[in-house]
Amino acid sequence: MNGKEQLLFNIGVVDFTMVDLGLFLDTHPTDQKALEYYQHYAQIKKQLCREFGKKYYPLTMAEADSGKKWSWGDAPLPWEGGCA
Amino acid sequence: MMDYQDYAGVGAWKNRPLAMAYVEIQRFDKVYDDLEKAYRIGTIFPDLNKPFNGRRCEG
Repeated sequence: MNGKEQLLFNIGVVDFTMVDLGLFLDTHPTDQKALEYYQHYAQIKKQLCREFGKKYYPLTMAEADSGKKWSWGDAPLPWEGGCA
Repeated sequence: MMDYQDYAGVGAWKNRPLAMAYVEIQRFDKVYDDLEKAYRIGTIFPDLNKPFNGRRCEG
């Protein structure tokens, strides 16, 4: 795996963790430890996505405007083999 | 393998009404620290890691 694929994979792992924590929180909305874990990984995911957006291309539109140029169009298109 | 008589009227099953399903509530206990392993297993909770092995669940 090169740098881009590794970073994308890491984002996937953190996102998966958040989904699993979210499922737990659905039935335990006031569990403080689970909430802390969720906020912790949400923070990490935000950093990883911002890093990916700077280095390669934005994963969501929220990261597309880096001030100088609207980079939403930089992402490779799925029919051009864009899906990692 | 425990026989069904072993469960009847013993421990946690003592005052359970018949014919009613019961699912234990999950407690936030342990979480896998290796998230990549958790990602491959499909859960971050060791308590929910129950691979089906053709007859009954392990773990």
